[in-house]
Amino acid sequence: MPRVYRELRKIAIGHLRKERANHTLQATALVHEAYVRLAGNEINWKSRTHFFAIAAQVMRRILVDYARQRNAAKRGGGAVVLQLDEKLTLADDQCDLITGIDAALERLARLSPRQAKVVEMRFFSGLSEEEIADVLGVSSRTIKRDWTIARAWLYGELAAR
Amino acid sequence: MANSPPDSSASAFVPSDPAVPLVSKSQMPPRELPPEVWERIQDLFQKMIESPNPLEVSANETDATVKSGAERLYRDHRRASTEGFLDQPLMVVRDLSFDPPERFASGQLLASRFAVQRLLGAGGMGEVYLAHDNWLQERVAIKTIRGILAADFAVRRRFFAEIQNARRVTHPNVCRIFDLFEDGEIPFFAMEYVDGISLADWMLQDAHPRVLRRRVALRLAEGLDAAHRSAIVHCDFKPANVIVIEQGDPRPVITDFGLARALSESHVGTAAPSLQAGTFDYMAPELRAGGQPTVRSDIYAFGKVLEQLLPEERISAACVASAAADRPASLQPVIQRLRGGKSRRLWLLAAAAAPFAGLAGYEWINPPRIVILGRQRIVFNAFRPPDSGEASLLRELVITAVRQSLVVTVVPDERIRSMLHKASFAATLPADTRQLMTVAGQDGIALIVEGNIRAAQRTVQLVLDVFRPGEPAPALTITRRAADRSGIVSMVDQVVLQLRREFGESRAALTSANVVPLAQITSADPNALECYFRGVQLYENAEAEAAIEWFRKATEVDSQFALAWIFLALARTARFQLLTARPAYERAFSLRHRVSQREQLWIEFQYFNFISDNHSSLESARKLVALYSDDATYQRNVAFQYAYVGRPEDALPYNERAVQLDPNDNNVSEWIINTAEANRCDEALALFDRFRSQGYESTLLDRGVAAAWLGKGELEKAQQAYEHMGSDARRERWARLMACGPEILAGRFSETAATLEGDLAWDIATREENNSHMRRVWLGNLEWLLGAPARARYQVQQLLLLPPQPAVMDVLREAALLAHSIGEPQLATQALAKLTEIAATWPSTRTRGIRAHIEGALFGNSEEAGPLLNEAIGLWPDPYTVYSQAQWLDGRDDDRALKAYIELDRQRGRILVLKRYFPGLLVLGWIGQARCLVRMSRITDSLRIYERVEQFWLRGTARGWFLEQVRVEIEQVRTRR
Repeated sequence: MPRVYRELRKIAIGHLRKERANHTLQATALVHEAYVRLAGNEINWKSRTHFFAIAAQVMRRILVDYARQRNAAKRGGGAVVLQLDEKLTLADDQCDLITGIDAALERLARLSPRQAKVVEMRFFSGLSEEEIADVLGVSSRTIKRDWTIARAWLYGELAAR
Repeated sequence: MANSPPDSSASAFVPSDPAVPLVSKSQMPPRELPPEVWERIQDLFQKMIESPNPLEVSANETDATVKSGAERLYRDHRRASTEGFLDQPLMVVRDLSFDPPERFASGQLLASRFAVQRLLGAGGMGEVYLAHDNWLQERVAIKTIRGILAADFAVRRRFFAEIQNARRVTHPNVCRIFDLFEDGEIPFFAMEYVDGISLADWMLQDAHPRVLRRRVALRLAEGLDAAHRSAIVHCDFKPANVIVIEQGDPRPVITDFGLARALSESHVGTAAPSLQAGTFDYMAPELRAGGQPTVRSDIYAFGKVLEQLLPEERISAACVASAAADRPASLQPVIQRLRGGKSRRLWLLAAAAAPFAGLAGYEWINPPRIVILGRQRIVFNAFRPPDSGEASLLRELVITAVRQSLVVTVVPDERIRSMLHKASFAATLPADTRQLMTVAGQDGIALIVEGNIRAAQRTVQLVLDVFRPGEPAPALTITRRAADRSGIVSMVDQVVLQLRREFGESRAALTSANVVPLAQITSADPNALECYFRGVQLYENAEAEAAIEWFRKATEVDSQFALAWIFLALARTARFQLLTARPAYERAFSLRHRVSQREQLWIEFQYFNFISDNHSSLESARKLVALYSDDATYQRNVAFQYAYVGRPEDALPYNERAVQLDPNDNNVSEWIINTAEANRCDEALALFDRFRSQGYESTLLDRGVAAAWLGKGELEKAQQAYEHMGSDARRERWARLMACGPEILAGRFSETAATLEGDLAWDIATREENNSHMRRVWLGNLEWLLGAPARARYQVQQLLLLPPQPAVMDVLREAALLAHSIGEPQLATQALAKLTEIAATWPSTRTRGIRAHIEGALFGNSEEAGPLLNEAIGLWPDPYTVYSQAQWLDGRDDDRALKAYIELDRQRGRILVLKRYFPGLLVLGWIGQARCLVRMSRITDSLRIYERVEQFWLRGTARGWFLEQVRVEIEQVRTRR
């Protein structure tokens, strides 16, 4: 797993260095590229889906860690040194959203673990419904249903905070 | 909200809807639910979202926890969907120190022109302000793009170019971008100010009746479709990018057209550029996978919006297919369904009357109420009694005036006939009203205009029988009458204005500059009008010679009559009277600002076409198609220009649409021709068979099928098709020229030269210019190939007598090339001088490209030719230019030369279809290609090409120094192997 982490980070930063202007990048692009780079190498991934499942967790961890640090830095007067490359940033309101969703996802995982996974893969990793269906071995109809419920539930959770 | 701020929906979730009180914690169901309760909540919620009446579903639930849990989930679901909560996966953003949102202060004057009034909104990409345009004295919206600021010059230029592209969309349901400006360092664009709320908010309002939502959906589809037909893709269609004007009938306006593309394309080096700006839910799967935005990805987004707008109907199913190929190619089928099928169509009616005695207006009866469903179509049921000059004039004037409307279209008589014919009714006009109503209902026709008041009365009664059985029709009366002949024009203006209002054009729209009085579009003089309409009728019946006289008279009576001038020009062009056509074109062009936008664009189209500025002409044609998408002629014109600039593939969708709208011989034949020109010969043959079996007998169709057979190498079948084409006296001379094509390809040079020579004498004797120049060009080329340079020289001299006119530019170019081939540099220079004059007088990509080509070609093999030929290729890469460049590269850079020869072969459809290319060019290109391959030591490949040359040019009796040389050459290559 650390290998995936390093690779994802490297790719993300590499991408952003190349860019000139206000550039946003979807996590999907990173995940897919990391997959392409790693898939052909010595690591024998069980499958593409196996990789995606792990990458989604990693993406979530990278982004949540980062959002927490950002929030902490803001409140603590900038004492914390950011771990992530300074070029890779998130807008302020996104940081709040990320930490909020992360916490809510912990609770959702207790109610419906699969729904939490779906959100993780879709929101943090940008995977499509088809890809998620593939990873979880269920139909994309089920994923659609899971997503609709999870999204409504998360909305309620975040609005009530 | 007005004019959504750029990409406002991309900003993260903010729970800030004050209208919906948040549930306090005490009312919430416990979050730690027993699993079986949570299961039941989910099931109930699922049933709710699948039902049209969700609250009825939940009302039946007895368990209070399940009921409130599901209801809460449902309410959160609704809000989450409309707010686009988590629609987009998380974005990783490069840090930008965000500027304060208000870049411009109110009262500030931008670009010495726009007075800023207030900030309307701000988003991730910039801000939107309301401003007053001091020049045009109107309110506009101003949008800044922050991201582009950091970009370098090239990126900015690219962005500007993209915006210029999007500017071309003009449609009532598309927010118009006026122009781009820069104030100091800050670029912004000014656009139509639209006062309304976003579609996302509109959908959140209390349930709108279905008929209203349908209408909004239809208008959105029409707006998108108009852009698509100009090949402009929105790239980021979603409810947040649509503003609904709520006053009166809700009108949606699509904003940010192409902005997503402009922004993504400006960011070079992005892994997946299209992923950035679109909102996930509306993003087609292929875009999510990193693909490029297309019409079909827009259709997907539209389908997603339609699912929300009209959940009770299943119209969107095909649009949201996950494979792009499964989606419809255009929104037309959706539009048809939204307009309503046979069962749901609401009939409206009216009648116009032109009794034999005098002129009349019409009476509109009140019920049934008019419901506008998008663009409306009108048929004039032979409102032209043969023995009444006045009625005929009235009809033509009404049609001319109605044509200026953006929402009403006149269905051509031919189309009505073919509709009647299809339904196995008698296809004569005037048609039986009952039968006409039957086919009109299926074809989206809303109004039938009858030829006299008795027939109109019957129509009214028929419509009432359908909608209000038993109710007698009110008596129709004549409400307006022109006092005398000269009052007819102003009367028509009043009648048509009333008609347009009834059809849903707002009073504001009708009083704006868009409405040009009929007298200004045509003429106020009834005598000029009469001459003009007679001319149009003759011209449309291909009797250009007779039409010229009438148009000339019309312009004599009224020298300001722009439309008469342009028709005079067209009729003269049709008779190849180019010298006298030119001043008529220029006159029409200079008068074009007098007439309405529609006629102005049409005049521009024709003028640019005449002066060989085909790219400008294509541009005008595309604008016309965007504005008046139901006019088949405009569709065909776009197709024609695409083919002209060498993009026949792009022409085909327009050809298809033209045939859908009006399947006349012309439209069908152009479709077949362009399909053959795109090298899709089998498809062209299939189309031909299809229309022949439907009873299309016109010899126009033969031209396309002949080209398709030529493309397949079936020379005899092509020959037969041309023979059939020539059986029509109007096309005999043309067909005889084209029939030389298969002969030349078969290497029968001397026989063909004899035919051409004989026909040329016939042309000269009968003063027929139209085909004679091309005949001479082909003849000269054959004489050169046969080794008779003195005779070829004579042909060149004759061609050089032509005046320097854009219309004969191709001929002059051929003369120059031929002079160069036979070693007559002086004659070639004379031709170049004429081409230079043409390019200086009428500069365009085509005239400049052709001039550069010839200047380069005359340098022969020297180094100086290279840059000129490159310039020519950049401007006008047609078969001759490509051939010259390939020849120049021969031996210099064989790789590139080979590529050029292959490109020439790719353009074979063009060479074979159009008479302006000597058909032998195709084989000359193959020979060049084979020689190239020999030099590259690819002997086997070269022999393959040489065999093709043998098959065409070296069989049978073929002779001439050139062919002998090729024969020897092939033998040498064979022995090398």
